[in-house]
Parts: sequence; structure tokens; C-alpha cells
Amino acid sequence: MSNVIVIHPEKCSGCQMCEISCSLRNMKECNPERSRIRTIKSEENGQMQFIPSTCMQCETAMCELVCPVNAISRDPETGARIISEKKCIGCSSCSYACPFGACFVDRGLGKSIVCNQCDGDPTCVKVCPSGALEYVSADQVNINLKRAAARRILSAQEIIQEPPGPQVLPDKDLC
Amino acid sequence: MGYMRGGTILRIDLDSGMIVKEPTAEYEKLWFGGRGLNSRILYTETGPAVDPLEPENVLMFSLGPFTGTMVPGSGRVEVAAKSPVIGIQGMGNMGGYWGPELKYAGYDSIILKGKAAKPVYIAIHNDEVEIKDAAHLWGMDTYRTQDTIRQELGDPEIEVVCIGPAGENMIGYASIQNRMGNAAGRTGMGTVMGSKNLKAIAVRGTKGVAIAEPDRFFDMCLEALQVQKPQLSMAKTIDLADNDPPSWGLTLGNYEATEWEKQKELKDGHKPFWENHKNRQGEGITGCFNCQVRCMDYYELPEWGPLVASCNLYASTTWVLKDPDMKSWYAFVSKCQRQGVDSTSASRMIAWAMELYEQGRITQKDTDGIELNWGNKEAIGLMLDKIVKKDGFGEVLASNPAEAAQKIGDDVEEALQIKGLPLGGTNVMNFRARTIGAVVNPRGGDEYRARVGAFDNLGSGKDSGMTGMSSPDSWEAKTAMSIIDAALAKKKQAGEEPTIGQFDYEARGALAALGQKISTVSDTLGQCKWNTIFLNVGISMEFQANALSAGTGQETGIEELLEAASRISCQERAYAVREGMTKDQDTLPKKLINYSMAGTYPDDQVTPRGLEKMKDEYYQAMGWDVKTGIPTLDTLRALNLEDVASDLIKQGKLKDK
Repeated sequence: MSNVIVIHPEKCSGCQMCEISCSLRNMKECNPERSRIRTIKSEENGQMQFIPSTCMQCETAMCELVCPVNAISRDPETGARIISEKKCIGCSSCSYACPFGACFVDRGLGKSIVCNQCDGDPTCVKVCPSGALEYVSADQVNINLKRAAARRILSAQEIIQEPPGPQVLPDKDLC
Repeated sequence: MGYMRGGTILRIDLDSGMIVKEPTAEYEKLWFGGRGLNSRILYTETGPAVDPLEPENVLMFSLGPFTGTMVPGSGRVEVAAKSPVIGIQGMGNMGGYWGPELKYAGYDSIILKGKAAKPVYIAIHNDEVEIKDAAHLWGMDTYRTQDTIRQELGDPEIEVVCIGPAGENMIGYASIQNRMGNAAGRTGMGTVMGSKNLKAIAVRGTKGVAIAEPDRFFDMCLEALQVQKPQLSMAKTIDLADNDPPSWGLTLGNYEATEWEKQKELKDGHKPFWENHKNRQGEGITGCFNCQVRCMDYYELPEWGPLVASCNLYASTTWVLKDPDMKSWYAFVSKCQRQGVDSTSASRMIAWAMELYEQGRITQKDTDGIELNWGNKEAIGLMLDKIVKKDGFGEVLASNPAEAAQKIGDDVEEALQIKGLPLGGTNVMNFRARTIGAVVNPRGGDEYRARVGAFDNLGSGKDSGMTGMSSPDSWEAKTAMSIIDAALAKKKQAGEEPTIGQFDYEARGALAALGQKISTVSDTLGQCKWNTIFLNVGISMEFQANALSAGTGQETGIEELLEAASRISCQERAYAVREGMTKDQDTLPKKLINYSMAGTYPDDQVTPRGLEKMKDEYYQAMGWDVKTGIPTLDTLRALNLEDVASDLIKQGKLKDK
């Protein structure tokens, strides 16, 4: 079973460590613009919002379907979509087709790039200090999201039962 | 563009609007960047006795080679100018996200001179630099200024540094802010920015930072992060506040006591307050660019909007102004960040006025009818508003300590200050390492630029909280231990007990010199001192030398970094000497000498002799003349500072051989 990167945006504190380490490992320079994961931020009157964004490893991958030169395929080991640098013509078809804007033509290379999960050991997940990124077996994504939802319900119930105590979230390892 | 560099220094003359770009390379070899470059340019490009608020003053924002790279805590920018508060080199080091953005736009420094005819802001998008009208931004708080600029330039990725109304009104100690809690707060850098009619600098950069040996650099940064990670819980601000008394050694009011009966109230109030009001984003925690320490607590409160706060801010209204109420603390800090005020200076000035009020030296007639009793939360809020506007009594408290005292009366003692910079809330008396750190700090006011954090509490038997975290095998710890061991051996030889207690004066001066060099290296390379000198786990001087070597492709050793730090310290000192400073200003506030403080250490006093002993040792360790506190001719020449040496000879401060 392949793995995927699961994103918990509410935990992200916006440090951009994922971007810097991704660009350095994969593009050999420190440059958020060339990172295959981006933290999309918005800020209004001091309220920050951070949404990390990267390849979701779609089962029906539009990028793969629209590529005119068949440069995109799935790595049998990790399950990650790989773009063949040799075949890619940098036409941006995949960028337009991707629902998340995950793949893009790197203007330095002249080729399209996308998250390759660092050959099964994603650097972004390794360096993320907030727990906003997780690398989990693809068949576990759903149960993780259910647990997150259950935690929200539980904490809501606690608030209802004992106002005005602190909002202590139940233990993370809820099973 | 060189490795680890934007490659360009951006010079802007606000008088003429002229924009000049020059290569950074000229400054790299001797000054490295950041604080080093600032110190050099301030000395060489401004004349003696410049009025800090006149156009001749220069305001600098400089990055180090590490800024914007994968080095942990690389979000730093060093801001400097001649300070309107201390009259010598003012400096503030800020984190956040603006520095890396500037590097990605292709710059290492922005050097500003002159004064714009009307309010302006600077917009930078890679190679494009524009001076734009800021009439519509004038009067806006720092949060709204940033939002408005992003909106009108149409790019949410833009990072902004700006001043608030306090900087526009040129109060004595205005700050420069990025996002919320990131500030170049101390020494009035926002005041200088306001004097230049410059509201903000907005930057967007899309270029990268080239690394000479990317794989080696990547591996060492990743390893440092992994070694550091298990220690991070020690750096959580919210947990530090849980200790009673606070582990970083706070003082009550104007150094009245080390204990406070309301600490229990505060301790019980603090963490639940955070739990109840933590921000929806990041689970109530945030931090700076590429830093996993994330030392900032992130709040939201409907009345005041979101707030970001880190450790020392917590002392401002609580211990210093004796108000344990977390909401009133929140309002104060939020106002300081939005209005662009150095909260440390503001709370010290208000504390000073409160003491005078309680003593009857000033009355409601002086304070515009405000009852300035200790802990009066309404009064604190009202006073801060008046300070920002320089309104009524606020005008007095918005001044520097000496001017403020004069405005009240000839025989009034100044607010607690060192070199003119109001003292923070941490205890610089009973821990000798902090005493000497504060005394010799080139900018005065606090101990943050001349100490080895992990050895703050040496001899106290306390090894808690922020201090004592250094890994014993780090270069810093080993070097500090060798200083301590030598002092112990000397004591033994003299037939004394070979121990160094908390109140002893031995070894402190040399440790402060070491601490100053370590601090200077971090401020110059563009790395957060929380990661280096305080936490000092996984990231030591060895790491810095290796990372610089791998990043630039030129092998650089610890010795070279230390030499650069010595050179920069000499440069800063020579500037201070040129502006009339003498070693007499390396001292504590008069009140704190031969003074006992109630609480934990009621018998302890810092004696003048003890102070001199520590200072002598410090000057010696820096290679400075013990009699004058001025760098010796040999030291200056060994550091390639021939021009500085001949200047000092011309001024009659040094004798030619």
C-alpha cells in the first residue's frame, strides 16, 4: 500500500520549514518558489491562516491524463506521481489540470515538477514542527480524519458540559 | 549573486529619491553581513555628533549569510542607526519573515539616508524598487498598514516592516514591526524611521539563495534540527510562565523584590488564559521563519484581536507594573505592537512614574488626573495611549529617562536605565553573569548581547527554565568551562576555596566577553540567538562555521568567526567612544549599586569594587585597555582596523607607539 502526505492546516504555524528543506533537497537551493509544497497564507488584522498545499496523489490523476507526452507515471514503490524530466516539455498542461495547483513548470529547469515524496521519506514531514504534515498509509487517511472530527466533537461537548473551563483537548492518541 | 547572498546592497537617499545598487562583496570578508556590516557603515558613513533624528543619520536593515536558508532560526534581520535613546549605535535584531523575503528579492542590506519630504513607503519586487506615497497609511496601526499595502500591491506574499503612530510621532522608543510580534524594539529604531518620513518597506522576492554544497548543507541542517528537537519543550514560553518564581528571574516594580505575592495569581491565570484564548491557527503557537523552536504564543481575544507574545513581554505589565490581570496585559502588549512601541521601555517608564506617584513626588496635577498607583490597570492603558500621542504627561514618559527626569524636576532620579536605555524586567542584580552582561552590553538596557545564556545561573544551584540548556559537549559550554576552570585554579592557588558562588565576581567578565562574541556572530550571520546562545543544543559555533563553509564553499573556522566578532565589537566601541562614551557608562543604574533587594537574596549587593573587577576582566578578554575601556592599538591592528586606530589617535583617545 502506498503512502500519502496528510495535511492538518489548523496545526500549521507558518514557519515555511517544509518549503525551505524541500527546495534545498530537490532543487539544490533555498527558495520557497521552487518548493513542491507551499504554505498558502493569508493575514488580516493579525489573524493568520496557513494552508500547506502539495500533491494529493489523486487516484484518477488529471495531470497524468492530460500530459501530451506521457511524462507522468506512478512510482510503483512509493505510489507518488513522478514526472520524467526527459519526456516533459514544460507545457503546463498538468498545472492547469491539477485541482490543487500542485505541479508547476520550474522556470529554472524548464520542466514541470511535483512532489515526489523524497523517495518514500518526505523531508517536509520530517522537519514539520507543528504536526501539520503526516505521512501515512493511503488507507489510513480516512480514519485519521474521522479521529480529528471526533476530537472536535468531544471538545465541543466538554465546553457545553463545563463552562467556562479551559478547552483541554483529549489525548491525541484517541482510538 | 554569490553563494548565501542576495548579492546587492540597496542604497536609498530619501532626500533625492536616488536609488543605488552596489555589490555586497566588498563587505563580506571583514564584516560578513548583518550587524557587522551595519556597524561598519554607521562608523564610516556618518560624521561625529550627528543628530539621530536629522536626515544625516543612516538607518540600516541588514541580513546575514544564513538569513533565508535552511539554517535553523534563519529569519533574522539586524536593524541599526545612531540611536535617539542612547546616543550611540542603536540596534535591534528582529525575526519574522521580512528578512528572508528581502534575500529572495536579491538584497543583503537596505541603507537609508536623508528624509522624505512627505510620508512615503518603499516597495520592492525583485529588481524593481519604488518610493511610493504613504499619505493614506500615515496614522494607521502596524497591522492595518501591512494589510493595506498587501492589498494595494495585490500580492498576499508581500512582507512588510513598518512603524505605527508611535514612530510617526517620534516618541523616544518607537519600534519597527513585521507581522504581529516581530519587532526591532529597543533603542528607538522606529523613531529614526519616523524621522525619515518612512512608513514601511514592502518586499516580495522570488529568487532563491544559492548554496555552494547543497547536499552537505542540507544534511547538517537536518541533523541540527533533529538534535535540537527533543529539547524544544524547554523553550515553550507558556510553560516557562508556570514556574514560581519565574525561572528567568523577574524583579518587581523598579527592582523592589524578587518575589511577588501575586505571582501565584499570575501563575494560575496564565496558562488557563492561553488555553481559553489560544488562536484557532497553529493551536495557539507560532514562530518565525524556518524555526522549530516556535517560542511565541498566539492568542485571539475579541476585544483586542489576535496577539503574538513571547517570553519577556509577559513581565511588562505584570511584574514591572504589578498588575496580575492577563486581560490588561493583553491590551497593553497588543497596543504596543499595533502602535509600534517598545513595550519594555514603555513599561519601565510607567513604573518609574508610578513610584514617583506613590511617593508623592508627582500628583494627579502632573499626570493629567490619572491615578498612577501600582497595578492600576486603567491608568496603565490610559498612560500608554498618552505616550503614543505624546499627549500631556505622556509627553514626559515618551522621552528618554534623563530628559523625562529633567522635565519633572532637578533632583528626580531617572528611570532605571543603562547607557540611557530603560531596563527590562529580568533580574540583572543577583546573577552576576547577567550583571556584567547588562553593564557591558553595547546598547545598554538589558543583558541580551553579552552573556552565555546557559551560564547565567552559574553558582546559584539553579538550573531551570531558560538557562542551563547548553549541551555540555558544545563548543560554547566547553569554552565557558575552560574559563571557569582557570578561575577556579587561580583561586586554589591563592589558597581560597575553589568554588564560584552565585554572587562571586570571578570569571564573569571573561564569560561576558565570550557571550558578546557568540551573540555578535549570530547577529552577523543572521541566526536567532534563541537557537544559538540560549538553547545551544545541536547548534553551536562549530555548526555555524561548518554551515558557513558548506554554504559559501569557502572553509571558515571558528577562529575566523571569533575574529570577526572581535572586530565588530571594536568597531561598535570605537563609534561609542567617538560619540563621547567612556567606561564610566559601563555601569548599573546608581540605585542598584550597594543595594539590597527583598525576596530570595536579601543579603546580596553588587559592590563598586566587584563591578570594577568584572569590568576589568571583560576589557582584558576583549583586548581593550583596562584603564580606559578602549580597544588597544595592538588589538585594532591585529583586526585590520588601522583606520579606526588612527581615528582614535587623532581624537587623543589612543597613543601612537
